[in-house]
Amino acid sequence: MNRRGLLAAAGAAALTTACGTAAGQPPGEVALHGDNASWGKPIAAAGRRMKSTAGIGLVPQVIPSLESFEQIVKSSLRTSKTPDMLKYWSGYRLQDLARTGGIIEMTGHWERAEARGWVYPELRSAFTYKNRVWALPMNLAYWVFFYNTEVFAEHDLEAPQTWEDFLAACKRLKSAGITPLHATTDGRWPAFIWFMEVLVRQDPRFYQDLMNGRESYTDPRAVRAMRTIVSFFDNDWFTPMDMSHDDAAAGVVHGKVGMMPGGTFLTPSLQAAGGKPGGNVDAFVLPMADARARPSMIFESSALVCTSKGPDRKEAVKAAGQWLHPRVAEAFAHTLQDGCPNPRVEPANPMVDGIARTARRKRLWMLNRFWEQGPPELVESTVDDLAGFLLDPPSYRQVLRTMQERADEAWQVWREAEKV
Amino acid sequence: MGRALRNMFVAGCVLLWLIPLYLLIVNALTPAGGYTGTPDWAPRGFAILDNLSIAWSEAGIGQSFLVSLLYSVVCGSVAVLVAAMAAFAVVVLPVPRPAFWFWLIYSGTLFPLQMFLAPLFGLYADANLYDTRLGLMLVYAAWAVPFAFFLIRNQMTTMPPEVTEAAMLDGASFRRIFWRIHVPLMSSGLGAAFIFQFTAVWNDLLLGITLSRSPEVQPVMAALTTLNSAYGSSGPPVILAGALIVSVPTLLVFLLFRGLFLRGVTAIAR
Amino acid sequence: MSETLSAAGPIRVKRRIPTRTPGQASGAATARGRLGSPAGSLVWAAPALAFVGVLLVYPFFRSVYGSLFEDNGFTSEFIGLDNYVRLAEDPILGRSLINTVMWVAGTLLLPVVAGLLIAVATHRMRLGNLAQLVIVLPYAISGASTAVLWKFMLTSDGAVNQVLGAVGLGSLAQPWLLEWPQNTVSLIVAGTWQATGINVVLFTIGLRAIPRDIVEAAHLDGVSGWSMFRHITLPQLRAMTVVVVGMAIVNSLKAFDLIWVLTQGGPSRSSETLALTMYREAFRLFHVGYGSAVALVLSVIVVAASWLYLRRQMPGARD
Repeated sequence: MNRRGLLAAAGAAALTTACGTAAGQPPGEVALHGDNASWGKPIAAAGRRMKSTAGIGLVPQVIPSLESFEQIVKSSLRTSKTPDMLKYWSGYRLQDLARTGGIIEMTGHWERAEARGWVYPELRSAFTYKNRVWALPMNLAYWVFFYNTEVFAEHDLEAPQTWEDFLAACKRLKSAGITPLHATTDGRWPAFIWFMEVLVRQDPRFYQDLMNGRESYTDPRAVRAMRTIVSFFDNDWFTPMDMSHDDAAAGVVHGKVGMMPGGTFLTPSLQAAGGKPGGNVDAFVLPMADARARPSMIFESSALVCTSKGPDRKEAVKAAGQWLHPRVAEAFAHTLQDGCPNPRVEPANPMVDGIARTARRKRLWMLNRFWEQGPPELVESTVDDLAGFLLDPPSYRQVLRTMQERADEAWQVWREAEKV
Repeated sequence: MGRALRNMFVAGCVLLWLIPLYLLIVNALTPAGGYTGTPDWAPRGFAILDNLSIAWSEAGIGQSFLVSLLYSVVCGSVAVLVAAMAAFAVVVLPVPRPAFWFWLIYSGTLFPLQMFLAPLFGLYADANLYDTRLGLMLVYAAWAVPFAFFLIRNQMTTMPPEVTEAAMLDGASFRRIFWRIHVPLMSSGLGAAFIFQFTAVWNDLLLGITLSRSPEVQPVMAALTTLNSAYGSSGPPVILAGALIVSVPTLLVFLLFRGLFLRGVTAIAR
Repeated sequence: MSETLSAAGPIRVKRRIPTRTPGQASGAATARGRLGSPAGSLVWAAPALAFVGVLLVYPFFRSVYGSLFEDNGFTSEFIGLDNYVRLAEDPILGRSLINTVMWVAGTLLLPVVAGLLIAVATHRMRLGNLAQLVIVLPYAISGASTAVLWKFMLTSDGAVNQVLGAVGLGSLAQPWLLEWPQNTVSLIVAGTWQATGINVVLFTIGLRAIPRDIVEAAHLDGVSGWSMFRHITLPQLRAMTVVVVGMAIVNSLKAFDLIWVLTQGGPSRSSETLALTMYREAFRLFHVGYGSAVALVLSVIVVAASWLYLRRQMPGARD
């Protein structure tokens, strides 16, 4: 009796609580999978608009861990359990996914959107593999430097317009007892930020070629970028390398840290620390170090992907066709509070508005982020090399040599896979 | 002199252990906007309720909290029952090669969890168990069995064999011996094993994030990790408040069942 | 089991401790009459075997098998032992192994020794219970939460360096998480903070169980202090030590959460253990087969360590 009771209770509990699996959604709804819980509300908001424009709703489903997200996406593509729509990375990570044949081509969707003026045409290459488009941009994060407007005003500073302004601002902040610049290895990936930002300001063409395997890490131009960063270390301009973005954001808001480089996706960290974008905190695009080079800026954009084996794939493709519709894109961008790949959408807040205007006025060349450039396997190990450099700046030559050795190997593997 | 030294040692240890706990509470009190990027040593406000409610609702800890309670209670109980039966077989019954079966079952606790993840994922996708509560309950129960088995078996070997022999001479069946003699005699040990496994299941992160994705299936530790992500950082005070919330059930279990736990562990490690 | 053991080598001295399984002792005749044929009694172990077999042991061997393949998540090709050859040549293996050994040694040593010392010190002490309660509290906190908290302690601007600066030891302040080996040591210390409490509780229970007459007799013989501890207390705690160390082994595996949240094995892979190396290879780089090979090496180390320990310490676990 005792045991029966226990077993019966356990069995009943298991049966009543085990809901059905996610084997497709009811008609009129498509699940969209992401790796970030805070995309839940924006996706739901876009889904509500889409319901009114196209009769299809979106159901956000989040796998909150980056690691298991990639694993799940990759291992499920082969099966019919694969999610219908998912958020992925652009650039080479998307190419990697496209090569599997598990996702649906979207060139048609792109061309229709471009014809209507619903998407920035220069983003196309980030979503292209073998001249075909495989995904649509979901968001558009700009890579900027955040600063505290009140602190800058107090020290008679303005957002720098030239590289010299930027260096002068660092000096000024340093002498005022404020750590001028945030740099970190915390969280692993941020180790690439300074190499990317400095290289792009010195030679955007070289950055683009290096990232695509056409140039070498041991090139004098890469050495020059590393030396510039070393000189910042020599001036003692950087925060400790284990300061997280959260702590740095709080430092910016409370006047302890001068400037923090990062994507506009970091805005909520500043807001959580009491910052008001467009009020006491704002952002500028780092000016070019070489005035003759083409003015450039780093962007980051997530990819909306449809899988070819998903149970609701027809509805998913239809929903993707509506994604860049101004009303849908607006609902998404405004709830997310970030930039929008559709130029017709009103910017979500004054800070994003300011950056988008700068980008248009200066005709900035939009370059994809380090993380999305080059074979993913290469990026995964070069960020660790760059972390090694940040902890031991004098080792920069050795670090560049190591990175080049890795690049040789990884590009060879990548190109061989290309032939298949 | 020896006594003074001992008191100082204990006082020093208590202080060392209290400092992180003190910081945890003081900084969970800080209003999110008041956090300056470095730890506070004195309370800066009393925003703990705000921080708790942000963590509870925004990160969906509330929903996952109840689901995790279900997992921990059900899987903890099932694992203890199953482990007790296995221990009974290995210790009391005439199983051939008991050591082999012991190591086979105990091996489940020796392998690193990461070793199981990829194959388990495939298995779950094929069996339609991926992202279901039943699936998570099955794997948690399986994961909890080996260590519970280790504990219960330890206790069972200390029980005098005469008890069983006498019962057997009276003609009692094994089933009767198990339920009427072993289970009652070991109740506190079983309780302690349950507390251990309740804690283990409650604190799991890796299985939860690998085998589930829907908010209504996800365990609470997975929800906690969503407090800190791009586009969604709620700031360290809220994260610490979340860490406090998710520690409450295990703390309560330990405090409420302290007596049972102590008696149980005493019995296990005789 | 005993055949395989003897075959493994003659060095082992068998110290046979008589344990009786009543089912066998009472004679096969009575046992077989009812449920108790040898095969029939396995029915009792069947649920446990099913759970462990299907959800733990099978995936384990599936992983071992997978380690013979080059598998990137899409295509898979049989390559024999190549993954193991690659592993032996991988420059990260050395660092990873050293860190793993530091973790195993550290989690066996620090929390166990600290637990024993604190238990002995607080035993029969006024307010000793209260002191124990404080030390056991962190055990209830999850690895993920502990890591969040210790990040507060260990960063360059963190609490530890603040304290050092405040008491005039600013010269000792350093970036605890950035450089090897102190990052691994710091992580082990954080793990010790969490894991010691339960050992204190367990050892205290063991101490209470020591019969008073033994202690009193020893006192009459003039035994006290260190030799009391060495010759009376320690041997009497043996059974409890088995449980404590058994748990420490399990805990040293749990250390994953702590490392992952605090450093992700970094910076620049300096705090990586084999568990982290495996996770990185299989889940970040999709070298599923290679990751499985790493995991197998780790499993062999852990299983060998616990087996060597437990088979000496646990009567009845062999044979």
